[in-house]
Amino acid sequence: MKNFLYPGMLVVTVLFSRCGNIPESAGTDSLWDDRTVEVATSTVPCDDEALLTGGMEISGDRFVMYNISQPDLFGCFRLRNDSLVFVAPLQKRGNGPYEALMSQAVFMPECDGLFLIDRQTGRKAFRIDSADPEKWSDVKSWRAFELPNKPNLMSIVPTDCSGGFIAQLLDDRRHMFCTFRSGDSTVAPLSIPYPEVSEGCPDISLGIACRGTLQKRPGSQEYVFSAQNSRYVVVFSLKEGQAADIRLLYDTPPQFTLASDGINPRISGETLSGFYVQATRKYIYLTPRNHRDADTKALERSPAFGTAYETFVFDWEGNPVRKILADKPLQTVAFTDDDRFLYAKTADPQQSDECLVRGRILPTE
Amino acid sequence: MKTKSVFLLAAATATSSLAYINYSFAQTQGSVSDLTLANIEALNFSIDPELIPSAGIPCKHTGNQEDCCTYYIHTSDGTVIPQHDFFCINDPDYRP
Repeated sequence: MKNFLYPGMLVVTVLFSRCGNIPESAGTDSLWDDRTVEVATSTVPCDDEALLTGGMEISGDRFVMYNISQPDLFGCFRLRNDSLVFVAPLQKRGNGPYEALMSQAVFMPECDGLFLIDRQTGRKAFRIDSADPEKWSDVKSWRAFELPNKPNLMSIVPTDCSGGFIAQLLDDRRHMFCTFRSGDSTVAPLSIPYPEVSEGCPDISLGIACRGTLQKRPGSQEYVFSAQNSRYVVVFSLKEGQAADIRLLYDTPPQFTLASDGINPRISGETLSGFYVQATRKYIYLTPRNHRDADTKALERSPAFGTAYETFVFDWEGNPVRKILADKPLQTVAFTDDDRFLYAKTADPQQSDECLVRGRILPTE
Repeated sequence: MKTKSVFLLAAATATSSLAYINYSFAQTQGSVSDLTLANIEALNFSIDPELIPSAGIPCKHTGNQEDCCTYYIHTSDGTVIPQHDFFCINDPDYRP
C-alpha cells in the first residue's frame, strides 16, 4: 500500500484548536411545508437473509443487499408478487482474485451492468451483466478493471461502462474529486475545491472530515456528492473531462478539531450529520443520518439513533420537489429507479425482530 | 430469532477478536500489521479507541453501508495510512 509522508505533522498539532465554520441553523426549513407527502409503509414478506442487510441497491425487480457480517458481501433478491425472494449470494469476503473485504454495488442502466467496486483497497472493480441475477455469481463472466490503488481515493463510481471512474480525492483541498481510467496510475483532479474552513487545517484532515458519497445520475454525466459529517451537498457535471455546472444544495462544512496526532479530525457533535444520498434519473434523495444529539433536537419527531422519518427530494436543477414523511422511523432507505416506492428497514413495534417495509410515494399534486 | 442469534454470534466473535487484536497490538508496540488491519476492517464493528492510540478516533457502528469511519494511522516507520471501517461513523459523541 502506498503511504503518505507528512514529516513534522505532530509539531503543528497544538496550533489548531478548531476547524470548520459556524453551523447553519438547525431549524426546520419552511421550504417543505407545502411539499410534504406522507407515506404509509407496510411489511414486505422476505427471506431471512434480507433482514441482515446494511443497505440495498435496486434496479427494476432486482435487489442487491449489503451484508454486514456474513461470508458473502451481498445477497441478491428478486421481487415476486410483492415478496423479496433470495436468489443467490454475491462476492465472497476475502482477498482472492474475485473477492473483497468491502465492495460498493452500482447499477449502470446504460449497459445493463452491475459494478462491484472494491472500497477497502481501491484496487479493482468488476462489471457484471445484470440482466439475470441467477448468473451474477459466475465469476468467469465478470469483466475486471484495474484501479489506481491509491489510498487517498474514496467513493469510487463508474462514469461509463468501459473503465472510466470518478472518486473523491482526500488529500487536495483545491480538488475534491478526480477522474481516471482503468489501468491509469495517475488521476485527473477536478477543479471543485473543498469547502472553506479555518486556515491551517491540513488538506488530509479536511478530506477525511468531508468524506462522503458520490452518486451518478443514470444516463447522464451529472453527479451528486453528499458529505457524511455535515449537510454539505454539491451537484456538478462532467463535460469533456472537466467539472461544470457546480452548485450547492447544502453548504454547511463539518466542524472538527484535530486529534493529538495533528492529522485525524474529531468531528464535532454540535452540527447536524450529513445526508444519505441516492440518485435516480429524475431526482436526488437526501435522507438525514441523525447520528448525533444535535440531529434529534432539530427534528419534529425524535427518531432513534440512525433512523429518519423524512427524505428531502430535489430535481437535478436543485429545486425542492417534495419531502417524504414516513409513518415510522426508517433505516437504510432506498428508492426504486422509477421513483414510485421506497424500501427500508425498520423496527416494527408489533414484532420483536426488524423487518423490511415498502411505501408507495404519491405525487404532491 | 434467527436474526438475533446471528448477530449475537457475530458480536461475540467480534468482541473476542478485538480483545486478541488489542493484545497483539500492545505486544508489537505500535506497529500495525496488514493482517491486523484486515481483521479490524473485516469485523465492521466499533473499535476501541485504545486500539489506535496514535489516532484516538473511535468508530461507532451504524449498520449502514454508506457510513464509513475513516482515520489515519501512524506506522512505526513514520508514514501515515488512511484506514476505513465501513458500516461505522467517526463517533461524534466520543469524549477523550
